[in-house]
Amino acid sequence: MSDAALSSFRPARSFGWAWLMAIMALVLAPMAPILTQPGVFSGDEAVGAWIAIAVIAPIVMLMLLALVSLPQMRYDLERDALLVSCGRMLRYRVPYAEITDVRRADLTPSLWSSMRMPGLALWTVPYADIGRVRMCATRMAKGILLIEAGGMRYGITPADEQAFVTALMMMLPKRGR
Amino acid sequence: MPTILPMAIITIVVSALLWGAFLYAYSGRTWRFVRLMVWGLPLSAVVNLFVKSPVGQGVGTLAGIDPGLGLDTPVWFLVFLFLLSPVFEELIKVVPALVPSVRRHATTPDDALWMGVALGIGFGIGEAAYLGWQIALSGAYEQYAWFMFTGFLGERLVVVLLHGFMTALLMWFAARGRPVIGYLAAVGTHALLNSGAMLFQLGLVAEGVAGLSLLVVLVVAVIVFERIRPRYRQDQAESDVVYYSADD
Repeated sequence: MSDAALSSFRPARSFGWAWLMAIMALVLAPMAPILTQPGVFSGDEAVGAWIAIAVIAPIVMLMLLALVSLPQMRYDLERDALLVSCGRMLRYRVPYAEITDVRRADLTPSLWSSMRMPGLALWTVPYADIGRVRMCATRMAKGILLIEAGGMRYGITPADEQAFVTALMMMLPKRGR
Repeated sequence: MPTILPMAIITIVVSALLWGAFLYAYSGRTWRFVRLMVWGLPLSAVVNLFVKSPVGQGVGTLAGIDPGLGLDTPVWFLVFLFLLSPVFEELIKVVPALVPSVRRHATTPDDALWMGVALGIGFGIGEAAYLGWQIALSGAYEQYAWFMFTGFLGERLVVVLLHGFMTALLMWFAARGRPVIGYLAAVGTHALLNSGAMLFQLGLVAEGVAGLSLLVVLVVAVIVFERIRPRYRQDQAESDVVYYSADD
């Protein structure tokens, strides 16, 4: 909970961490021969192996960062804005004054994605039906709480959605409710 | 035990789980298309053992061409071999769609596309099993430990999805009354996919360049797939729970 938060909400539980670990294992699998038998490649093959490591290492680092940050995912209601965060790696500030729409929706995922898998969606994720959504959620597409503000869409999945929505409604400008 | 066996099993299981989940999620969260994957499983072995192999060997024998000539092989025969897989595999992948119990799953063009994805993915998984079996039989790579076959895993994972895409393309066109265009599009994509491996086997390009054709086809396939696949949002929008709207 941030210092300025009036109330803080946790995301719904999910097995996103398991998917992250499985994908990490898949990414690491091609490196197994290099890591377990360093001398197995020589000459051009060794160059190729190091290029593979250079490409794969940042991906693995990013996934590790996501994995350790997941327990810190939360949605804080501050005095004048909703703070959506996942540790230090993701932080969206959504001013209440800019919020124009709040709804629960099932989205259609697209094949293009930054970090989206069953049980987890982080950063900007393109969806086939509504376009880009800034996600900080423990579900990929089903039952996403969509918040539209300042021309952007934010997708979150509070564990206690009703309590979160009730608290958020109290913070929103008194208009058209 | 063949050293490729553990990796072949991992490849088949991971492909089935990953692309089965993909099909389930993208086709509107339904199992009815995922179940169709089973129909594609035996088709790779069938087409390889009973069609491609006899046809390839038969034509080679008739023309008096020895296998393994590399660049000394007549160009027409290279083209023939090159087209053998795309022509017959793209054809056999849609054969289950002729079975009435399968066909009734494709009552709309959208359904036809997802049926194509299912049959193609099933074929791709079966192909991974068939190739694993062939590699094990050949004994050519027995000096490698099982975890050295990660290239097999990575390549097959992508190819399984691409098989789904190619069959979906055929079915998508067929559902719009243009099956020949669809078939040619699928065969063309398949030929492009195989071009890198063919050129590598002939010693014309390096292994890295050969892999490039896989990447190019994958990117193009994703772009095309995202354009033609059904969108469900319009129906779903009605089921949205609106908590707040500034327009009200």
